[in-house]
Amino acid sequence: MNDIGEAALKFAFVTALYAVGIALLGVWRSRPEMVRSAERATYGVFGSVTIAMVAMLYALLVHDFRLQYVASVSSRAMPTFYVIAALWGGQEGSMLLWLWLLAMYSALVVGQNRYRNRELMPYVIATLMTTALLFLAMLVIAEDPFRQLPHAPRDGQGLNPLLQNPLMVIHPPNLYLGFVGFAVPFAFAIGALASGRLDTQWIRSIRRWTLVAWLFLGVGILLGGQWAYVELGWGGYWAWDPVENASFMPWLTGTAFLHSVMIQEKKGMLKVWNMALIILTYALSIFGTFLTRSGVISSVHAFAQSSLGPYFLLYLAGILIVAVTLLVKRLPQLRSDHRLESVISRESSFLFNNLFLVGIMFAVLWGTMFPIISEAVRGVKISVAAPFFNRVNMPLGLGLLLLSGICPLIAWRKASTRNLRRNFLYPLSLSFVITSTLYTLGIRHVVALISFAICLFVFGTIILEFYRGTRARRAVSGGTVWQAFVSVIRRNRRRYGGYIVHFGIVLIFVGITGSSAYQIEQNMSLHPGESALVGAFTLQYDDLTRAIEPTHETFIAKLTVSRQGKYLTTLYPEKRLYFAQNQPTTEVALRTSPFEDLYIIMAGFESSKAATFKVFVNPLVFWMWMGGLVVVLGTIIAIWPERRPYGVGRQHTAGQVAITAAQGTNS
Amino acid sequence: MSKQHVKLSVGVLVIVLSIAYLIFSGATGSTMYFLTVPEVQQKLTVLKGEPIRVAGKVAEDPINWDVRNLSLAFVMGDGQARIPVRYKGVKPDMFQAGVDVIVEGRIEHDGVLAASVLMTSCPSKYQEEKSPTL
Repeated sequence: MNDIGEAALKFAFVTALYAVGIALLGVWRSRPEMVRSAERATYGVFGSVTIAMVAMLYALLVHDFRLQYVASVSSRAMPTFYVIAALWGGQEGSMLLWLWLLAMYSALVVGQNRYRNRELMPYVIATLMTTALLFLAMLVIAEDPFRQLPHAPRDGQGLNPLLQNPLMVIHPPNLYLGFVGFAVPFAFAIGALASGRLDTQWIRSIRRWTLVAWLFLGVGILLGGQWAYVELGWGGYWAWDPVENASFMPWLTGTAFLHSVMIQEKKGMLKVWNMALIILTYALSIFGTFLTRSGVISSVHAFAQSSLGPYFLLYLAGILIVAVTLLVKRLPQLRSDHRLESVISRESSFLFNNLFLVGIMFAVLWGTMFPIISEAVRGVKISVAAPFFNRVNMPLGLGLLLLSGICPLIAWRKASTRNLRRNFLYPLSLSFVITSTLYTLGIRHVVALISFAICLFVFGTIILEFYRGTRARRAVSGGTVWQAFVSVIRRNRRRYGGYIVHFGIVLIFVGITGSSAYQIEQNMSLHPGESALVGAFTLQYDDLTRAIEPTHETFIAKLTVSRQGKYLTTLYPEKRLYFAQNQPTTEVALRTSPFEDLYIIMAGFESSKAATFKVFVNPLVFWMWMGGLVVVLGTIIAIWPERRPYGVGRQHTAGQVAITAAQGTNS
Repeated sequence: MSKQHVKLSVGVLVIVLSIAYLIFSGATGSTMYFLTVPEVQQKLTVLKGEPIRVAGKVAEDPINWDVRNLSLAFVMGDGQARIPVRYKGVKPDMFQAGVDVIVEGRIEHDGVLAASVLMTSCPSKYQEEKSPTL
């Protein structure tokens, strides 16, 4: 099986090389059959990488410890679930998964565009297969996943216990689906630039691809945060670590692209900007991979000091040179069809939204790269700490949130005072009334108040939009309120899906605000029977027990939680020792409610059973995960294929969407 | 350029400049030297009281972990270059002699690095097993 896997990778390498060559030769010589051959080669790459994946999975499942990779990430005692997850538990396997997803996307793109976008396809295939070549080259030359050990050990080292968590199992594939997904829009952008077919057709073809990539990346980031929260035991979910930043940056520019591309579709503006954004997003995806896979920047995640750096840098330089050259060459054809007419219009508010998103990305990039920049310029390594990121991104994030309320409601071209009053009077009043109430209830944290005020304002604008849409629909077609509500969303999935996504983002902001402004942190040392007060909670330490499990030994503390004399729950923070790795882990005990999370870790204990606990009360964190779910729901609604009205083509529907959207705010 | 374009350009410029200002002013307040243990020892007197971030290995001994007060005392570095570190907080799971750590803090008058942040990573095994968090 291992020889088959290795051979499959080598075959995929040759096939991908052939696909790139024959696709470009096909355009150059105008020979469609050559492009068809490149398409078949793309399927071939997908097929052979799939064989390599299956071979690796098989090796993991039969515990073939002759393979260095299998021996280093799995062990006999591990549950099958985690043995499968070990496929992406280490460097080589992660790259194999990445490659496989790319090959799968490529095959899907080829299948989807058999009769469409024919001028673009040769370049699309060449771009995607060049990326596949990068990963194949690394897997075949530098990091062979099928490398054999001279002597097979009797058992493997096993997956790091910290990674043995269901969240960690689904987090990496999500991120990869996101990162790899941005390769498709990038490939189409290159295709459009190279072929000169620069109308909105290519943008329409990649809309769903971009949304899917954006969704997976966002979900991946959020799952990573949740994993850190429940597993690492420091009470937080985000630390501005280089590895986290690496995934956040392409998400930011991807978000900017999703927004500004609407302006191009509807108004034929910002064409160069959009090209630049999609190139930047993809370059950041690759750059992020480079950061984490090469060990250039020290991170708590401590990735391999591997030999992969030069591969990534070479590829990154290559795609940037090609993309920028093409872009400059096509500049004259990318002129705007319209010009911006007013500062207070939807077009310009989208532009401002983009500036904020790119600004945040730049701040994150600056902070992440600061040690390297300062060493190059001044010869000393200077790093910036987490407070920098918070200080810079807090105002920018709030500004962005405010724009997400303003953008969708402000009129196209030029907003009148009447338009502004009509759309913003109620949301502003709602925000003012509730924020004042919060103030009188004792919330005095200024930033938190500002943040809640903006959240409420945006929430108000979303409600208003749904209310108006439903009322208008009901006036036309009658029926119940619910029917009208559903029908409004169904008839304009993109727009209302977008509003739902915005609502999810509002919830995420509520969670971030609550947990960063009002976190309580307290240490306490207790003997069994003693109790302590944390915030409104009374914690009573009952007992400490020891248990032996197949893979680890564990010490479990029992804590009874009550509030104002009323019993709430019993929590069991744990300290484990994993035998195979001889590594202790701390298991967080968590009680979640919509108001606040009670988060307890056992820092240590003595032979007298006296134990020291670190307790956090994190308000409103619940809403962050809920917000994530709402974003997923909204995105799915926006992605869901629209039913075409009878006898009306695709182009027409898109036009209608633009018209209704414009009417919605102008009327 | 029309009047509207001037206004718009001013708007864009104001946003770009405020973002730039935020980044640079934010950076000045929260930068710290990122050093290795030998570098710290060379410039010990200059660095006293300055916020620093130091990367190095945890030495074999002595490691004192006072559970009750959540206070951890250890030595960073190997061979000639060694600095004593004092950390208030929970001992990370991966912390043990020989692992690579990154600490953030200031060197106090007694010459001990008082760390407010302690991060661990285990290069030998973590590398092979570490998450593909990307």
